[in-house]
Amino acid sequence: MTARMPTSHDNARQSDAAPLLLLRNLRKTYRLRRGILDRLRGRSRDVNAVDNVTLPIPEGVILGLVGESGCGKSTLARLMVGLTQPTGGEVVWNGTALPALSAQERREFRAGVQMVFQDTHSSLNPRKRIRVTLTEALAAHGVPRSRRAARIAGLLDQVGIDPQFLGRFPHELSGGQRQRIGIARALAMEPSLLVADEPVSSLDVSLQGQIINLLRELNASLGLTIVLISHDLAVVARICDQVAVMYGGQVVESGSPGKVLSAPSHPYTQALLDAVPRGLARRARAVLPIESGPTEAGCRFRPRCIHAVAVCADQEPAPRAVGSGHLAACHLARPADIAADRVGQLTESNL
Amino acid sequence: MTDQDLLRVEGLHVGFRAGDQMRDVVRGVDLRVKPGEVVGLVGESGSGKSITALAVMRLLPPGAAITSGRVTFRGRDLMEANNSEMNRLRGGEIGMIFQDPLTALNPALPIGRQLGDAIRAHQSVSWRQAQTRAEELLALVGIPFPKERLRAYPHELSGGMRQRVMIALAVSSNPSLLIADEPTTALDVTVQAQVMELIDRIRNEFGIAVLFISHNLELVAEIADRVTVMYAGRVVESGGVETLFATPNHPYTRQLIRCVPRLDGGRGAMPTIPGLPPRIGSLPSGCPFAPRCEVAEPRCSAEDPPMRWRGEQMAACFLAAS
Repeated sequence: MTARMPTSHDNARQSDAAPLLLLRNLRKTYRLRRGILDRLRGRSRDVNAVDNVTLPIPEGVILGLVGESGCGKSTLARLMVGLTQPTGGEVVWNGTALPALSAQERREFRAGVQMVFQDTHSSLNPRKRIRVTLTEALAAHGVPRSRRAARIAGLLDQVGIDPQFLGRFPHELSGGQRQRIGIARALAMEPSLLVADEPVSSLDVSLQGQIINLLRELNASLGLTIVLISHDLAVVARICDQVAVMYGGQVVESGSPGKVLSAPSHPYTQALLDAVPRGLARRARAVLPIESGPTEAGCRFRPRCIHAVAVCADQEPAPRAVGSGHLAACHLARPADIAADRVGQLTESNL
Repeated sequence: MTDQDLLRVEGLHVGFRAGDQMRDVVRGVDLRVKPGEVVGLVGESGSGKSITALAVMRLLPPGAAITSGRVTFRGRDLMEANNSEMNRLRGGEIGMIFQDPLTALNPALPIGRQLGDAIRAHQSVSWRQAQTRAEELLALVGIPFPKERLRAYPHELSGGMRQRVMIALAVSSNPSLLIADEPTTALDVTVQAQVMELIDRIRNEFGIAVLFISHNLELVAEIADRVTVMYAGRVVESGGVETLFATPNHPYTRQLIRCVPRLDGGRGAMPTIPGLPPRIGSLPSGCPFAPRCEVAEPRCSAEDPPMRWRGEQMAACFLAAS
């Protein structure tokens, strides 16, 4: 059963052209290794890390990908940049599926899609000075030797790092500075898509904003398309043009943050929002029922869902439109009804 | 007032050996925890909040030492306590939970065995009694099928369940103080909410005082009665949770609160604090926050700021209202 999402989203910047990157019915299955007895008995279990995800990434947007650990968002990121091969479905780059790219197009894809990682300790070579790390990236991108110094100066300027740091090793930099270098290294390839996997979650609150603002500026000044994987819904609400909420390997809700995070249609999105700590506003939060793994039949979220009805156990909900560019994979999602209720609540809390 | 304090830290200095000298990372910290209350200790990485907690337990890493100050628990000077007395306190009167339960639990032993050992280390009960108590504790912290779970190894449990086991271990000896160092940082928000609820419930049911260490202002605001804010090894502000977060009196607290992303915070650039926290060994003179402070004056970089009191709220700042 293939559930296809319409590819139209209500983003101002989106044209009618094909999205920069399109994930179509994408699937990634990992086989769990079990004990020898299980294997002799022919028992094995597959885990669908990414299960039939269709998601267009239009050029020029910042797309937020949210969900709890284990929901498949990091696997999806690795599929996007070609670090992992899909079990099913396809990744379409500028209108061409990855396996069909010519050698030249493949090189362009490799450079054009770059990744920024959460852990700046392990993603930068600890034994190489910053200058070497950046020079290697430029060399890999075919920038002639004579132009590298000028290009490095330009990159450092873009990410807000003083050139005096070029001679230093990663451990001599702060976490925020290392993350800026990670971004500079990605920019060296002149990418059109940057996939940032929890880029600020290991940074202090006072510094997180600096990196998030840098990503915003790069999006505005270079037109860089960004996929921001984050567990921080407030950050996503603040800077993303589109949001995709994942649960159990599937995108359960997507659309603009004004819709998905202010007027959610999927009970899981609602539960995630309710769980965000809001002690500073003196507000209590609601607690989801005890964790339990996603199920294989019916709706993945059903065991934790307070609204679940009989159909949820039998049929897997397909994404349906609940508003302009707003999709929710829930049998109970209706245009506007839950939404109106939620808007009322938010307006109250804004007062 | 002083004899009401369960834990008192006064003028604590902790130094790390650097070459042949000591560099102070904790520089004159005062902290009080009364019986049954939750004190939030807030600060960014490198502020000295975790080192303060380790110093209280006398669990400082090699190369670090308390250079001056006093730590008293129930009026007893812990600097004078011998090792066996400290061993009775740790995991006895004072329970501890850490950020990463996977490294704090023994991966090679079932959790029932670990709970049993912990119980028998502080109470003279039989192995069988200890197992019964362990089962009760697992039920108490909300672990389903507690009897079956006694045989589970840490890797067989989810992150949230492991942290529940840690809490069960920490409360197994009926402590009067629980030190929780970033207990929910590694957890998803939904699981985090459950663990926070559990800590709050345990505190209410058993009247256990909690020293809750976190960089997350939202969490601290949710659970604490009083809050102490640290920056560069010093306490910059302390006071009751409501007044401190509603009317912060130190520019660092004020600027930090503004940085916390909020769902109803609108769209656009995020507020930030310019610059970086000072590095140990290159601390500026005067107020350590002065280089990043939006209201700093020339005297802030020249002299140490005074402690200004406004009722119960203290702010170490020349410009704090009093």
